[in-house]
Amino acid sequence: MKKRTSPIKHYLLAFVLWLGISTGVFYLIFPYYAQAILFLAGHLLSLITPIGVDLAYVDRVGITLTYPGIPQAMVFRTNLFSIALNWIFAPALVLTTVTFSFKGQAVVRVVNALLIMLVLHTLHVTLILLYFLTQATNPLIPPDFPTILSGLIHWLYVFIDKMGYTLFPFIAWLAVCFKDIVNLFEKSQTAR
Amino acid sequence: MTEGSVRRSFITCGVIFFAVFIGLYIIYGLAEPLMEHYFNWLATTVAAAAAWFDPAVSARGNLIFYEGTAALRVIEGCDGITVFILIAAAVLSFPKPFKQRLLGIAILIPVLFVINWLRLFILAEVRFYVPDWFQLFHVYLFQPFMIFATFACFIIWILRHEKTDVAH
Repeated sequence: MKKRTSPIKHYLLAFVLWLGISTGVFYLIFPYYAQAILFLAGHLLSLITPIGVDLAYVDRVGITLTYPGIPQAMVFRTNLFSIALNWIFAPALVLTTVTFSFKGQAVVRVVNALLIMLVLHTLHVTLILLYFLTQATNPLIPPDFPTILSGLIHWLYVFIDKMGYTLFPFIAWLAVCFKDIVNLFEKSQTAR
Repeated sequence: MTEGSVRRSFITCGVIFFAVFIGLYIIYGLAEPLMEHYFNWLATTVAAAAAWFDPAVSARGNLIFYEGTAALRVIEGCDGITVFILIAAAVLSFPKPFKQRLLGIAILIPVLFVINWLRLFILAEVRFYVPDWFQLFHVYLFQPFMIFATFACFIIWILRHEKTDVAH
């Protein structure tokens, strides 16, 4: 005998389960993830600045930036842990969707989602650094740095500061699970 | 769905999503002078609800006071607008009949509004009675919780008609 029940609670319970696992993984790997973000952000900065920079994350303080000739490290009081906390949603969203629709390639898709998050977090951190560096005269920023680019950096900084936290995991989810999400909706419509 | 139609649908949805998201964000920015009234209203209603349990709570402007001391300030970021914009963009860009999308927004935004109001109420209570836990609740619990709530609303909207066979 079969009983028809709503799958919503199953979906949400699966999501909570994956979220718990994902949170645990995030706590374990965060120091390495932070290093990866800063390594990539340093390379992105070097595309703009004429001087090589060295970035480091200091727990509960923020990001430190040093470059040759600077007497003391510049400190950006930004909580990278908090910035990257939305990371936990990307694998949880993907795994919930993939396991629910019983489609394969879960690992590949999770890795893809995490790579998207890594790119987004790297861009976010680079924007934070660029925003503060372009606020005042700094040897890291070339004197002929276009004003329009400074304006764009400022706009993007504010935009991502306000919206990025909620937006990033969903971008990763939609990018790797779009077909599954649409299929879920179509199944839902068929069941009406 | 063929691969080609999925790709086209994905691109169309992506364009609509970002257009709506950025459009609403710009409107949000333009409406900033009016937001002060909304912050004040949130602070007043949360304080009124909290005062029902403890008369030591009051509000003035966007500040919530406990025993005469300012304990909580309702500012940008506390307003829930981010998740309203996110759900509106997600639902509006979804490849389904326009009427269903409008109905989705008309239901989901008020639901998220209530969830956000409850979040503020709980935060106020934590601030008054267990201030050491405020940071934990404010940053590490409620920020992810709001993303979870948004996702849950979206999934409920997608799956609301589906029934699954469960063997007994």
